[in-house]
Amino acid sequence: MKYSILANPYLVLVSRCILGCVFVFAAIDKIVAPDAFAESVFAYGIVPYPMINLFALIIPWLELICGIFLVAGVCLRSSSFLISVLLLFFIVAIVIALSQNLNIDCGCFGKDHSTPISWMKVLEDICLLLLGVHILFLDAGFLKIEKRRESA
Amino acid sequence: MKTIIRESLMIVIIAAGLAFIYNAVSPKSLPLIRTKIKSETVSDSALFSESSPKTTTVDSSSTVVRNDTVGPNNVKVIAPLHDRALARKDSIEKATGKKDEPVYKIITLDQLKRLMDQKRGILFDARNDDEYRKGHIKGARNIPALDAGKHFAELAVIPRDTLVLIYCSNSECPLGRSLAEFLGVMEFKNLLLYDDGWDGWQKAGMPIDTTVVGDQQ
Repeated sequence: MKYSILANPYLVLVSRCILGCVFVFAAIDKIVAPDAFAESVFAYGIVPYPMINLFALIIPWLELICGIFLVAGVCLRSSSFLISVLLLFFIVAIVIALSQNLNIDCGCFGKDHSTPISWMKVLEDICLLLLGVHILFLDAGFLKIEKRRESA
Repeated sequence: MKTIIRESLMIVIIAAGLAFIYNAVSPKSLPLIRTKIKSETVSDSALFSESSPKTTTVDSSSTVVRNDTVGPNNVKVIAPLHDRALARKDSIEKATGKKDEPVYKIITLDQLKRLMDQKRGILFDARNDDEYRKGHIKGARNIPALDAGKHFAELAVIPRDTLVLIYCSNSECPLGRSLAEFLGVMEFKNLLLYDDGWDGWQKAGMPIDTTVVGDQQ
């Protein structure tokens, strides 16, 4: 029972709400202005050139759906899994950009909330990743639309 | 674990589906596959010989105030297309009747320097506002390509045969091309893109300016 505090259903619910809201908020601006997000993606120089638009179109919708699912409590484990994968990718992307001394916009919350990349951003994303992992492993199925399934 | 992967795949497919549907109806739709645009360079002789370039000489200091760019005979300009329609590539192709044929030519740093020394043309920085504020080429006015429509009114009063020099971050940066195409649809005839852009300018150790030109707030 060493996870007893972390596994508290209310705590998991708080994690879900924070992570879900952050992702929904982050997604909306990018969906509205995909061209600006595509430029941010381009600036990182990680995604192959022809794939940039596809990436810039799909990722915000993925963030939106996973965010809504987290708050609503639908497919909790898979949406927290997807969000964790995305966060891991963002962390790697920012660290690579920082290590190359690129002075670029983070693109994290769309064009209207632009902030340059920094180690602070990496820390933020790590905190969000911890929330994602928290939900993924300790989701107790509290206030959740679907019934908890046994993991295979 | 299998369930998670299956559900995750489903979510990704739903997201992609919604993204494609939204992209198809959105006014800001993007082409799914991003392609590089072909570009043409321009030779020194074409640029600097006395006969060939029929361009209006504009003193770069006149770009400081927006009204100064109005033509000498109070040039009246009719907007060819609504600015929102301009943002779409198909309307650009329709308006110019050209496909994949750039309306602009590429210049090198030396050519840019010579043109600036001769005080020929006006210089536009196609990057975003915050990058422009951090530093730009002296005399450059910021027309962010993503917001070019907002600058439509101030661009519309510039005589169409004015030599326009454009730059972005580097040759990979699509904003310079996008702005050049926008100006091309507005029927600007002499568009030159400094392809190495801000990165090339800095690498060459050229002076950096941080004063804001024009009516930036």
